[in-house]
Amino acid sequence: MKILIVDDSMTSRMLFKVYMPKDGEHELVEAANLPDALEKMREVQPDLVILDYNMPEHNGVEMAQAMLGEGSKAKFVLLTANTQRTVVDSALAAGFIQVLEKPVNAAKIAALLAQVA
Amino acid sequence: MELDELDRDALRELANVGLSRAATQLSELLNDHIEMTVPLVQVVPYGQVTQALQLDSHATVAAVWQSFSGQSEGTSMLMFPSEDSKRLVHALVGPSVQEAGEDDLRGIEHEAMMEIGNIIITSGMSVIADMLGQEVQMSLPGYMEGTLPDIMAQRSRDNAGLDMQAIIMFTHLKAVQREIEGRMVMLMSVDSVQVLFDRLHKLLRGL
Amino acid sequence: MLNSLNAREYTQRWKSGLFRTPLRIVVAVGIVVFTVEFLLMTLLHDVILPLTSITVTDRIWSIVDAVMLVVLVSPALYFLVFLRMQRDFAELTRLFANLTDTLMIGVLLVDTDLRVHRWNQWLERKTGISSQQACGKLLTELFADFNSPRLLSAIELCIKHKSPQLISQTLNRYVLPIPLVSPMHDLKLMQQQVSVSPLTNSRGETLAAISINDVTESVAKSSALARLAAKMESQSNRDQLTGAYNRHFLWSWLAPQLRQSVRHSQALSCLMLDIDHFKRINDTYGHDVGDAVLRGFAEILHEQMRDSDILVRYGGEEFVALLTHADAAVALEIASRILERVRTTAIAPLDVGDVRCSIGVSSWMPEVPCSAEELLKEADRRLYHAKHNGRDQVAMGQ
Repeated sequence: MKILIVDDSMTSRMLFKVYMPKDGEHELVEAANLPDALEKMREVQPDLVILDYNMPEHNGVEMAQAMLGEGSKAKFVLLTANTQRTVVDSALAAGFIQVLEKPVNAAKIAALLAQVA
Repeated sequence: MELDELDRDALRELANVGLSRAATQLSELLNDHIEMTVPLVQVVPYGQVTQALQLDSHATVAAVWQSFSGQSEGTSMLMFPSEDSKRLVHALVGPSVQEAGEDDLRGIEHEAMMEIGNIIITSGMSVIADMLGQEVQMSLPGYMEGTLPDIMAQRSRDNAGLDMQAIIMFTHLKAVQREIEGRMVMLMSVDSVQVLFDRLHKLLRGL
Repeated sequence: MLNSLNAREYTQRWKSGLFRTPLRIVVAVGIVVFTVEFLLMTLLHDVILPLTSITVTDRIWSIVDAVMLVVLVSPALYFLVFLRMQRDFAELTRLFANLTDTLMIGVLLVDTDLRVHRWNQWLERKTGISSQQACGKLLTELFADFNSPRLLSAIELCIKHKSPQLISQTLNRYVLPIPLVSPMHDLKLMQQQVSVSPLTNSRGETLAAISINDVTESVAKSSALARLAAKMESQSNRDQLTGAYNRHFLWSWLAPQLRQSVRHSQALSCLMLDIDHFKRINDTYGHDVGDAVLRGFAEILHEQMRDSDILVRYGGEEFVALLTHADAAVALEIASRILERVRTTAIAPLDVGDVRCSIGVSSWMPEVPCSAEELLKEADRRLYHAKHNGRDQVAMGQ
């Protein structure tokens, strides 16, 4: 499975990489902002896109809308530390299939991948 | 404070996740949506916290703290300006507050703030444990209301904290429906920020 | 040293498997030591010694045998030392068990599933649930009306993050529903200040130690004080003895009331009432009786007045009744009724007819408006008139 992670925090992206299963079945690509993400999307055609909610210029939901506009077939997951009911509801309403709560760990990521596959 | 780019980035992420957790907890307590501003993060020597916070040194602040020990040592302290904390408490305690006398009101605010602070600090510190892989033991909460210089003086007496470093995380919160807003400061004094990030470094450099 | 630990406790400990591991170790060590010694002896005796030219006398052999015997027996000594430690441990445990039972607070130990592991005497007393009954059960099983999500989340946070949790009475009232033996004011359940602390055992399992403080009394006291304060606030307008309003209130009420009467063209009447020979009653029967008479008198007045009317204690034995929407005729009617009631009622502790009063009546009408002072002055003049005319009567203006 090809996974694109979009987060302005280097730490967050690196943590994700660390906790990803190392079974060689998944390819992870990173992006730090919207233009970067759009470019990677065209290049790689990911199956799963993981978007951070709190980004400087656009929030995760806005970015998803922009990326969906590209006609991608990918599934979208929101990555956030803010799991208030209102946030989760609006994410699901916007088309995210799941909300992944920060901070991530191996178990959370494994569960997510199992669910998406 | 010599922190490299990765450490700074990690610090920002730590503040973001920690304060978001706090906002989530508050939202559950108040049963309301909480908006928060992007957190400002700073690392300063403990002695310089008062200046760095830029809060009016005459204004009273309500502070709740819990000490921690284990792989890292220090104190996590949550601060709200007094008017903001009063509003928060009155929102939570409800109309029965009107009946209380002057002294009782102080007692009520004290007790309620300790519990609120306790909940928020616990969830914030759990972020440390999760993100940085630091297992720490926490103490029971303490509470104090006073001016910022008074509080810092009191804490450093308990802490021998002057050669410690302090991580300041500052945000502005707003409870949308109840129309309460306030500033929240999370202050983490720690023997060493480097030590705190030690595990993180090992984790990330193992890539 | 064995008799400090009685037979029952020993059997209990034996059953609980506390001795199992040390015993196994002792037996194993004993076997090993015995085997090693045996081999060593045999080796020494039969193999090594013959190879050397050392002759060992029987006496030396005896000494060696004795030493070997001591070494063989040593595991048994260790076992005795272990038993001694058991005794100390038992005493320590007893002390701690007594400690939680001596404390004037509730102490219970639960795990993540909310299963109770320990339940102290205070809890037994207050809930009627014994330690035997409680241990092993879930909190939700022990209390049918258990409803404290904060306790559940506190236990979870405490165990998961090893962080102590405070549960204040202010925000939560209580966590375990324990009815009060004697309800105070409007409180039926015990008000509780609770803390939850993590406790990790040697197996690395963390339990939550919950301590419950009964703060019902201080909560009741502070709300009682608050009510008292509110009462006193209202009393600054009232005469404490009779419950009527005081002069202070009269003046603040009357002027606006008159303005309203002007606006709505309503009549307003004033009765000034005085208990006849009140000084005599006080002197003859004492001030306590005098007070009782005042109270009784005020009660009669209140009865005859309508909800919108105001009764004021104007002086020692003087009252003013302000009658809204009442013209002279209505005022006279009410005054007469009062007079009649006073004459025919026994105002305790005196007899029927012992108490009489005089009443002066004045009215304010839209056609003939006057100030508040004038209204009262007129009523006063009429009262004087009534008194002068023999008392026990109503006097009205022409």
